Amino acid sequence: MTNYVPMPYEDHWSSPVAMDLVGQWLSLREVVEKEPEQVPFTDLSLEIKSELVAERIRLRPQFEISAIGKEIIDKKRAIKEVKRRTSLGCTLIDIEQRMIRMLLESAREGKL
Amino acid sequence: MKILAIDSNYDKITQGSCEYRNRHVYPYLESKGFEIVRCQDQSARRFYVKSKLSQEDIAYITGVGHGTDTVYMGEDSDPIFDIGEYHPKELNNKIVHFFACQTATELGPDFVKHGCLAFFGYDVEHIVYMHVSDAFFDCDSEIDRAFADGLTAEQVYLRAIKYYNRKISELKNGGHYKEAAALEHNREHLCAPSVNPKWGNKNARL
Repeated sequence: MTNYVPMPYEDHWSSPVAMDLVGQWLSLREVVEKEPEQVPFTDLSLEIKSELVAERIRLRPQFEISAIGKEIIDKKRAIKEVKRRTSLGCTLIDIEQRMIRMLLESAREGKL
Repeated sequence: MKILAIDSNYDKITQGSCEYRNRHVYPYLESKGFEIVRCQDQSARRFYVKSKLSQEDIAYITGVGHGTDTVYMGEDSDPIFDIGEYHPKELNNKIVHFFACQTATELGPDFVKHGCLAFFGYDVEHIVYMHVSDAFFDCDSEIDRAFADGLTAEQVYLRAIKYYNRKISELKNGGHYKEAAALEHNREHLCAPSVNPKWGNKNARL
């Protein structure tokens, strides 16, 4: 990648990736190290997914993403779109779902 | 054989993509013997595109621009192809590839109904992380390079998916998880004749 610009360090381990049976978020570290009873992200309702993704975005040291036609989407707008579950918000939820899957794979393989 | 390039160049993402295409994509297409007819920047507008399509023998249309379900837009969101507003002959016997949001939803199938041989595009928002934008532009541009290499639409799709997979692995292995996830999202929403015949004939080639 010719234009790679380093981004601030992101603590993937402490961000939520699932929910426990009483409705509390579970971090990646808790899910991987303690393997508690949980509702995985993929099984959450869209409403709960949107809350979890909004929290993940809120915890990022920096958030900036672009969509062709919507210019730069900053953290504030991203959280709003996700919470309202707009078309763009659902796209961001889908991307986080894929990211959580990748993080869980890497963490369980000891690569994170 | 002529290729029409319709590239917006007026905000951060279209500027980045247009520059990338001028630097890395069109020289490759020219090296394969194609002539590039450019409607870029201020000439990425319906007026100029319509004129080029009526005067030139265009076989392939490619471009970056904003899009909706029914419209592909040029500079400053000028509607270039809008369902019901373009002449069917403009797309007849042509292959089209747009690096734009959502145009595969309705516009692409409408093109095919009006004689377009194959349409490549996306059916949702196309996401780009600008700090690694070349990886995103590069994956989509593999479609143009593969068509220029003489492949069929089916082969082009397979090559583009393989290229996406390679870049996703590179990003993931480099610890760029959110970027890899966004690229995977884009890959999943690449629409082409191989995915559904509503996007044309998978045997189409230049």
